[in-house]
Amino acid sequence: MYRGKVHALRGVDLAIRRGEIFGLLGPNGAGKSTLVKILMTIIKPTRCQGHMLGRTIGHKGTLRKVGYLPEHHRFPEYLTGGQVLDYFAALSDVSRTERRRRAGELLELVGMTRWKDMKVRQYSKGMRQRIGVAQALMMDPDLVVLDEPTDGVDPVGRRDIRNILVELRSRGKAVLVNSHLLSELEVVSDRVAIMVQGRVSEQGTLDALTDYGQRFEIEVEPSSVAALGTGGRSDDAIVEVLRRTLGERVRGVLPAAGGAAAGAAGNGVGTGGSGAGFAAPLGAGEAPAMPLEFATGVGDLQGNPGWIAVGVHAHTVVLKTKRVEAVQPLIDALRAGGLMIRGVRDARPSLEDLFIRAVTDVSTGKVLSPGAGDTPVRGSGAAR
Amino acid sequence: MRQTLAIFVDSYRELNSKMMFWISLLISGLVVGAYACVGISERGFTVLWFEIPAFINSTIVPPDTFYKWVFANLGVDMWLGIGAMALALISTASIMPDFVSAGSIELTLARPVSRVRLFVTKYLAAMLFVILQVSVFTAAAFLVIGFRGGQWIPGLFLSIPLVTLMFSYMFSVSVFVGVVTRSTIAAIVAVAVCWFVFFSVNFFESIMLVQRVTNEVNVRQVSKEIETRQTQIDREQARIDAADPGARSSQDVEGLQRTLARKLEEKEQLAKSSDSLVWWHRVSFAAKTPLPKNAATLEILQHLLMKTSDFDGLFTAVDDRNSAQQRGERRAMGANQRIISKEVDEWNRSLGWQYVIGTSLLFEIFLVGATAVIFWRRDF
Repeated sequence: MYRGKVHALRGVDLAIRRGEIFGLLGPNGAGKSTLVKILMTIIKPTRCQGHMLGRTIGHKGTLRKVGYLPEHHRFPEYLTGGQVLDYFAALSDVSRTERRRRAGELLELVGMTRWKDMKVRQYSKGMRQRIGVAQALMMDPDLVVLDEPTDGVDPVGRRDIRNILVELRSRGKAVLVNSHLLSELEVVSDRVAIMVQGRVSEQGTLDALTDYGQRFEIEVEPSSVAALGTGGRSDDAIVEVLRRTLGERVRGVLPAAGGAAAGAAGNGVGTGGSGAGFAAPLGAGEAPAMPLEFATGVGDLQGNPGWIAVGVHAHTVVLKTKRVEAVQPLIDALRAGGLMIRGVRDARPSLEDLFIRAVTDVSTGKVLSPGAGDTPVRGSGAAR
Repeated sequence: MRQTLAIFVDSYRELNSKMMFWISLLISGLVVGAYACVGISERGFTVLWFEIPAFINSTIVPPDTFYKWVFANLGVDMWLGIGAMALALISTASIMPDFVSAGSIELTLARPVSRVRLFVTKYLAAMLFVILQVSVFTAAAFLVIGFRGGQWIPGLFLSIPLVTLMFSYMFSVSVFVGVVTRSTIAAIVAVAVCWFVFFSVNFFESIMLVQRVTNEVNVRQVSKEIETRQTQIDREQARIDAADPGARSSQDVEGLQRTLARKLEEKEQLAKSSDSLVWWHRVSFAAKTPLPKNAATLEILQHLLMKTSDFDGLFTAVDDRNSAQQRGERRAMGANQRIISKEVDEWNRSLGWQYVIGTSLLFEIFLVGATAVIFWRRDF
């Protein structure tokens, strides 16, 4: 889609369903706002095919049932909060009776009833945002598009807005949220799409998208490692315990003392950290190196019986599986080797990990530059 | 309709919030107050309860003509046409830049209203500023004239559409620049520059018209004098021929012939400059035709409210006074001046309000249309 010399979007394929909260993510310049503006007829694309609420995108009448809160919105300063709701609802062709009824309800919902007669110029950023959310709901929309809805809102306000989104979902509305606050989206989104350089890099449910990094983490008590008295690095000692206790059921390249055997059996992407290239705990972005494999007979990440990748980093044994049964033999092995278990965690990548992964150039490992480009991005963008 | 009404209500709220609107309204009140204080009586002018004896009084200028003249010339031309107009243009210059500013336009465009309708409605809604100002001023003036002067003149209300029209010509410039640049300052500067240019072109044309008419009047007078001299010469020559056919012309005839020769030369000179003046006037008229005619639009009010003959009483009185006080050439110059004024006025009236408003509106429609296309095509 061109306008002048800007090629902002390229082959975007998205589907947002009724009764779901859809999070739209992407780095600055990825084309999220352009996409939203095209949906809202603020930008006229050179070419665009798609439907919104059963009508072609760009059909003005459809916007009667679409609520929208733009980023960095500016309401007329001479209006009061109540007048803002009334004015924009009237522009959306809502009847006067309906406007009055809904304004009262929504002001109450966003906690602005007390300040409805105050001029917008006197509002704080958070108050403007609350009024903004309310105006987006005035026409009882079937689709709500919110661009950074919690921008400038305090924690209580954020929780309130999150609750509103959940309430809208429960009423069968489709909610599209464009936000940089990944933690916010992580809490409420049913599905997300990550846009990179004008394309959808990933989209699907959070579970499906983070499946690649699902794992269990067994944290070993450091003092119990020290008590073994083996000397050297504690992670190496843990590996040694696993090899000793599991025998034939563990295989792979063992690290030389202080050396770097990383990657030989892993996925080739180092994490730094241990120097041995062993698995890093989750939250560091990329999937960690998994130099060992453990035969459980239970199943790997995809549920296939056989060998499971295992790594050790910072007193933590990481198993790349979603089968909890696979964890038990390893716990037993560690305990049999004289180690104490501090905790076991069922973990998966965060939305931030997913985001960083999506915006990283697969060939260079660098973050992709803004704007639509020809650089291959991770994922096909197909819904998962 | 609901959406259109919403935009109008919003525009009313917007202008209501502008300090300039109330300042302008206050000044309008003061102007009407001053208007209420002035009157005309049989002995001269009246200010409040004081009477100022003057040559001009209600016996030579009827009270309704006086009040209409004061309203059209001082109230409308001077205050509404210049003072209030400048305040209105400054106040409304920010309307379109604010409307299309980032963060604001997205909220409006994401509505089930077409862009063109949105733009045109917003444009028309901005006229509320002037419509309200002029309506209040005119209604107050109407009441003042009615109660104080005993004259009820509904024609005064013609000032509402005419002043609004004049405002709309200039506002179209403001809107065009405001939408293109999104800058209020740029819009104000552009309006000021265009106003000056329009004024200059129209002023130049009116100067050329006066020069042309003056020349034509002079040619007519010289032709008349030539005719008179020729008749005198013929009569004198006939008299001499009858007395003594062989006699030479008398000195009187020779004097008349010299005067005739001078006048013929003068006529030739006037004819030469006439061609040049006609050409310049045509050029300036062609230049002004596509431009808005601010002053001429307001003059329509005078043309509609008053006839040239309304001041015949005044002119006759002035002539009578001048006959008593002035002599010869000076008196002739005064009469000549009045003939020129009258002919210029008639020439302007002959163009008709259709020409003045029609050509000005064409300019406005062209500019607003261009702005609407830009607004319609632009990605915000």
